[in-house]
Formats: sequence, structure tokens, C-alpha cells
Amino acid sequence: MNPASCENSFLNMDSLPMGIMVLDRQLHVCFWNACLESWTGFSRQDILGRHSGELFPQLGRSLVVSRLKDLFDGAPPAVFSYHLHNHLIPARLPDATMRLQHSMAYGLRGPDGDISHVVLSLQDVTEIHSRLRENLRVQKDLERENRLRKKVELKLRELATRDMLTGLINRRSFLGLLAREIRRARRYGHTLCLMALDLDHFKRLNDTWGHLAGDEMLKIFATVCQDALRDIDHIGRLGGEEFGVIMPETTPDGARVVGERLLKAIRNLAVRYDGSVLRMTASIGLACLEPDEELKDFLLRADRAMYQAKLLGRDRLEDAPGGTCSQCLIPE
Amino acid sequence: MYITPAQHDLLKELINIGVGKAAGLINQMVSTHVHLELPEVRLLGAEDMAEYLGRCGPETLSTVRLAFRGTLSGWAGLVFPKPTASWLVSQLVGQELGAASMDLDSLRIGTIQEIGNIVLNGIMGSIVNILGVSMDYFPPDYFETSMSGLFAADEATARVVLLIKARFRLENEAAEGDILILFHVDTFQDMLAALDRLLGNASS
Repeated sequence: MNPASCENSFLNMDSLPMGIMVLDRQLHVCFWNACLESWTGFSRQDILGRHSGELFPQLGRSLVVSRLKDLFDGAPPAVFSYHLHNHLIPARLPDATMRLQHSMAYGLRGPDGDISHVVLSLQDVTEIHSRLRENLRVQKDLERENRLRKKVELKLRELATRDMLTGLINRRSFLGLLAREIRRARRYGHTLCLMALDLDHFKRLNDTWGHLAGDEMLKIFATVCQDALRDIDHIGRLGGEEFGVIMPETTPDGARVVGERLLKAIRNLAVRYDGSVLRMTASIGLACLEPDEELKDFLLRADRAMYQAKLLGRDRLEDAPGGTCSQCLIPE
Repeated sequence: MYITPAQHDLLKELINIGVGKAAGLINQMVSTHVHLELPEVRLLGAEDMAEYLGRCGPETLSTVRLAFRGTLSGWAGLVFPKPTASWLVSQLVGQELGAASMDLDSLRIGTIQEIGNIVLNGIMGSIVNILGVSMDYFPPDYFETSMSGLFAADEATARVVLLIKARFRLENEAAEGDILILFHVDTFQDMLAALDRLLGNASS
């Protein structure tokens, strides 16, 4: 086929919205559509009859040439992706960036049934690529923001529920927890004990050794408590040197054993500070939840028992006033 | 559908030749060395097919497909679990162009399409050339679907499926996928006849 008739037979592909280049067996260009003229600035007359590999070095590489030659032997269509080939036919957008091309080459049969030409079609995927990349960027940003927000939420929750100095739960979450445990004890008919604990002569310790020493003692006290208590107990700092211990599913006798163990652990504490050894003791009031008792009354009874322990000489545990839990939900 | 051991060996040989050529091409394109292994080539009978589809389950697979018609008709597909496809692309392209500039999740399609195209063309080219049959091809296709979705359009009784386990070995790691060739049953008979002719020529 001479170049002119070759060109004419492909003119129907001139206005396709994709780049179309047709090659003969020698890989000379015999058609170059308007789309490619517009993309590259090369007119059809510049290109026709010239060797594709000389015009565009990417097309002249052996791994591309061998696949194009295979097409003339009847091989299936060949895909050339932009990731692996960059720009088979360099084409620029108006802003001078390169168009990303996804290309496919396929053989065309001539009248004798043999493959006479190869069509290389080029699809401009710049726009879809940019949109996908933008989507991915937005997705990554959202994921990052989400991670950060979760971290902040966790921190805020900790700040709202924990006492900063000792790491124990604060008054607010202690009261919330106590309300829950009271409901649970009623629902399942369990006993529930509560200890009010106050460190003895803590003001004197602060006045003598300073607030830093006081803070240090509180921190050590919190650690000792967590060791001496059981896994099911909850200790919270209610204010200053005042603490509460919720003891679910615990009888007064059981609570007393734990309370005495705690007093002993505190008594045995010896903290080196500024060349001296600091010690402390605590007073504990123990109450067991009575039927129909409200939270504030329950707390008040434990508190009163704690003051009673102070009056009786400190470093001791006293049961709540009004009997020793004679009206517990499940009497011993 | 029955295939004799001799036919099976010859078909396997043709497939290996095609895959060898594909591996050569892929290695020219990427900086890392890829070794392509085919640990298993077998014809799936109706029971095998049901068991195979069951084993694959509903997982979404990256599929590159090449449909053909002529002396043989059907399609050939290269199928990877999506994470495997992503990993393979990142290995092949990431080292070449720098992973930072790539979106491997959304934009890997072009690359996996080309890798699949090279492998499937290698196999189909080898079968077609050596058997001397005449074929036409449809444009290569890419889609993501489950294994049963891939076979949904074809009548179970009218098809013969060849399963080729493919392992793309890169240094210490490997990506495993399946190459599936579905033949419409009458054209598969023609392929067996062509294999026999070749075997006859070789032995005479």
C-alpha cells in the first residue's frame, strides 16, 4: 500500500478522542490522527513515512519493538502502561506537564488475512490519574486526622477521669463507678462494701517537709494501695488526702481483712526524703450497702466511720455507725 | 473432558515456553529480577471446578482478561488477590520509579494490566503459534470481582477450564496468582486434535 492510500484508509480514525498511530511492517508511520497532531504539535505531514523508533526513542526500545513485531505475527493486543513506559509518544498539556498515556497496540488484518498494520492507540489518563491521586491524598489526610482525634480523645478521657498526680480515678469517675456498682449489687443481690480512707496528719507532713514531699508520699501511697487491694476493688482519690475504695461482691468480714492488710502496708512504708525517713498511717471507715440506701448516705456512713477511727486514735479501721452492717443485702 | 498424559505434557510445555518469554520481557522492563514458576497445570473437571470456586470464596480479585475467538474461543485470565497485586506492582514499579510518587492502591491497574497482558500473550501466543491455529482477540480487559463472578457469564457445561498456578518470585519473596484459560468446549476438542497432530508429527 502506498503512503497516500494507507493514510486515506485510516482517515475515519482522524477525529477519535484518543491518539491513533498506524505502523506498517517496517514500523514506519502510515497514519497519525488529529488528536496526536494536537497533543504533540507534530503535523501528519511531519510524521508520515518516518520510522517510529527514530521519531520517538521510547518506541524504539527493543522490548517495545519486539512486542510490536509480535503483533504482525498474530499476537494478542499489547498493553503499554504509563508506569512502565512513561511516555511512548511525549505529549504535553497546555501547562507543559506531560500527558500520562495508557496505550494499547493491536494488529489489523489486510485483504489477504495477514496482519498488515499495527494500530497504537493512546488514551490520556492524566485527569483520572490526578483525581485518583487527589482522592488518595484526601483519604490519607482523613485517616491521619482520625488517628490524631482518637489520640486526643483518649487523652481527654484520661484527663477527665484520672487524678493527674496519683494516676487513680478522680472523684467524678469514682462516684459514677459507685453508682453503677450500687445498681449492680441490687440487681444481683450482692453485698457491696465501701471504705473511706484518710491519711493521718497529712497536713503536718506537708507543713514540715513541703508540698513536694506530700505529693511524693501520695504517689507512693497510690502504688502501695494498688498492690494491697484485690483486682476487683476500685480505688479513687476523692480530694486532698482523702480516698475511697469500692469493694464489689464483698462481705464486711472480707472487706475488713483487705482493709487491715492495707493499713499494715501503709504503716510499713518508709520513704527516704531529704536525708530522713518519712512514714505515714491512715484511718479507714467501712460501710456495707444497706437496702434502699442512697449513694450519698452510703458515702456519709463510710465517712463517719472514718472520723470515728480518727477519734479512736488513728491507724485503724472502724465499721460504719448504726451497727456492723446488720442489714446487709445478704447477711452473713 | 479427558486429556491424555501426552497431550497434557505438550500443553504444559507450550505454556512454559510462553511464560518463559513473558518473564524475559518483564525482566527487561523492571530493575528487580522476576522468576516465573508454574508449580501446577491442570484441567478442572466439573467437580474440581466447584471445589475450586468454593475454595476461592467471595474475595475480590484483580483480574486481567484476554478474550479470544477463532479456531479456539474463550478467554484467558490472570488473577491475583488484590493485596498480592498491589504488592507485586509496588515491587516491580516502586523500585524503578520511586514508591513515593505512586498511588499503589488506585493507580496500580495500568501496571498489573500490562504484566497480565505480557503473561497471557506469552501463553496464548505460544499455543497459537506452535499449533498453527488462527485466532482473533478482543481488547485486554481489567476488572475486580470474585472468582465465581468471573465465571458467572459462562455455562458450566459448555466450558473447559485450565488452571495454571503462577508464582512470581522476586528475590526472597513471591506473589502467587492463578492463570485460568476457559475454552468453549467444542473448540477445546479442536485444540486436543491439534495437539495430537503435533504429537503424531513428532513421533513419526
